[in-house]
Amino acid sequence: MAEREPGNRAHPGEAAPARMPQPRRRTAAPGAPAARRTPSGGGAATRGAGEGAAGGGADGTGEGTGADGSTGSGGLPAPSAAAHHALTSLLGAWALGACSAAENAAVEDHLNDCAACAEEALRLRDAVPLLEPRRSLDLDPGLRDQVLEACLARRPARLPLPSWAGPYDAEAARLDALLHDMAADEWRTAVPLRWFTEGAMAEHATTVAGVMDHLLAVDGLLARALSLPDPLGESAPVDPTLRTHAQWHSAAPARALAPQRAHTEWREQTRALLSAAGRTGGGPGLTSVEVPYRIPELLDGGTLSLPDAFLDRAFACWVHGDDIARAIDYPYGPPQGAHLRMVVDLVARRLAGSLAQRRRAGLALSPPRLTPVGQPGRTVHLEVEGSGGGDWYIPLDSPTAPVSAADPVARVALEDVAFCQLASGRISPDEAAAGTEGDERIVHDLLFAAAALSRL
Amino acid sequence: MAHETPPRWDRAMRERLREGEAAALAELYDRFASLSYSIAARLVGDGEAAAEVTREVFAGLWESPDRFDPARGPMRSWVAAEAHRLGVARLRERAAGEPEQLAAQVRAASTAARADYIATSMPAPLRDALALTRFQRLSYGEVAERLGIAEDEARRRLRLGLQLLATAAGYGGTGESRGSGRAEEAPTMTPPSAVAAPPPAAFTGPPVVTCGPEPGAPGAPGAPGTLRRDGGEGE
Repeated sequence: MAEREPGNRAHPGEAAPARMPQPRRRTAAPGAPAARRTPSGGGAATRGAGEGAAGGGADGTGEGTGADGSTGSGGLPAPSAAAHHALTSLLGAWALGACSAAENAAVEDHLNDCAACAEEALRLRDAVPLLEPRRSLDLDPGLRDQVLEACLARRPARLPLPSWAGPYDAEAARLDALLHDMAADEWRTAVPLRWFTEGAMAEHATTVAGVMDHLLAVDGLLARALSLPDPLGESAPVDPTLRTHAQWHSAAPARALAPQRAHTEWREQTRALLSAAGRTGGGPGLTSVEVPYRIPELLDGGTLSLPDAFLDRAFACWVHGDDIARAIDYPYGPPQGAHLRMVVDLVARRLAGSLAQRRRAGLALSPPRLTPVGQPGRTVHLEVEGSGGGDWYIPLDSPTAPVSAADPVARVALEDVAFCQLASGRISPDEAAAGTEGDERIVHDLLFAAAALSRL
Repeated sequence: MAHETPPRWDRAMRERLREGEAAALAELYDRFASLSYSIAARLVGDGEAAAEVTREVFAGLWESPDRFDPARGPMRSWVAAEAHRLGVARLRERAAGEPEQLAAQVRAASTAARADYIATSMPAPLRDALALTRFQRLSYGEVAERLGIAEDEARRRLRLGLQLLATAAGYGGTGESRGSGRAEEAPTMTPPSAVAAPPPAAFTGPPVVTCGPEPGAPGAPGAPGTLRRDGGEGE
């Protein structure tokens, strides 16, 4: 997005027009003054009067511009109305350096003769630097928290954002800033979406707009639970993958014309979701609001509590923001520590269900063991390092078994971000570079159970 | 793409702020923080001072949402004017520099703020055409192709967009892009008859532009309202 001088695009080898329009003498009227003075003519025409000879011999009349250079004999020629009109219409493009070299020359030639155009040309050219790119990412990302905290310290919110909606709020804002800073043509950049399947990592190629439609479609499940309109309609499925394909299909014609629209629609929905989350009161009763949400570890579909559904969407928002950032080569870090820890906690809490699911499907390596009801079963110690880390004890035999931190049968240690990448299919279990202790088959089962939480 | 928010949005936002809705405060920040920060940064420099101004702008509105009156202009303008006001105040507080220098700084920041206002409130098709040429270095022919419009329409949008933008520097003398040797020419650069624009730091509405050079010419650029709205989109 660097600034550049006007006029040197079309034919870089040719001499670029000067920064100032340089009045030139018209070849057809060699004896005439270089620039015509008119009563209103200040600006370029007047200033250029002393330099008129510089352009001697340069015939800048471009082809196809209509600058036929009507030549009055003797005095100054008045450009024909048609030529004047054609050249005038080029002034904006000229000021922005968006003309061909021939057109540049024709325009600048015309500026000699036409004080009105010369005046406008200067005015437009001076306006060009005023057009600045929006630079959201130049803002210190920490400033958001700082400002919001300062505001809330002065006047506490009557409708605060529930803590479980905090990560979603922050991640949506980060992704929004990234999308704002993207150039228009980057919307069609290819972005691979990945997830774990048994035996190999699956991949689906889409575009930035496709990623946003994916987020829009799955976030829509929360909209339903909060009595907001489902972007896919009331009869849409609750399976995230089906929803995504439905959205890709129905939005395809609109996205072909205006892919950025996916950003707008997604952002409007995230804002409505956050507003609705604040209006729920955020109380403990909400943990019992179940969001129909087909999740990979449950064969029969399943649900997530509203807080967990918000965390899951924050997780998706980060992961896909990172996908987009990688595709367009933009820096993008993980969520802040407290939020990352909430995401890690969600994943850790879902591991037991995923382990059981894989065991039922015959995919577990470690032998099962029945635990008497009410007795603590075997546990795996999950040790997550980093600012989002902590210790979790995962029940190995039954998701509902009581958990004991004493005597884990195995220990798995890995970084917070790597753990999340594993659970979102961005790295494979083999790449997760875990430090382990204990039964290798159990370690294997745990890592694969984490990977199996990923989906499109 | 931080387009101007519609009046309805402004009024709803004020109502949500009155209610004390934290999500509304966050949304307000996401919409206007970069505007507020960039205006402040022009006056007091990048860094802590600009961050403080930004904090004050949002805290002020959050504490007293009624300080914004929708009848007197868009919220975006209010934020811009408030950031400008607080930035100037801070600049004056520490004014060690020459008064002329201070005035020039304030003027440049005013021009930039007006330009931002104009750029965000101009019709999306104009802004998109400008952005494609300036930031993606497309020729007008490529712009036409990208937007699916005729070449003369692309030329028209570029010219009209710049005419609108030029009104930002149109009064009070020099725009910040001026070279040093040209100050004395400044008054002739902008015939007042061709331009009617809002006064500095009072962002009361989109500027009205009439196209001076060829008032009678057929097909002359019209007012923004006559724009064809194919190929662009707003937020």
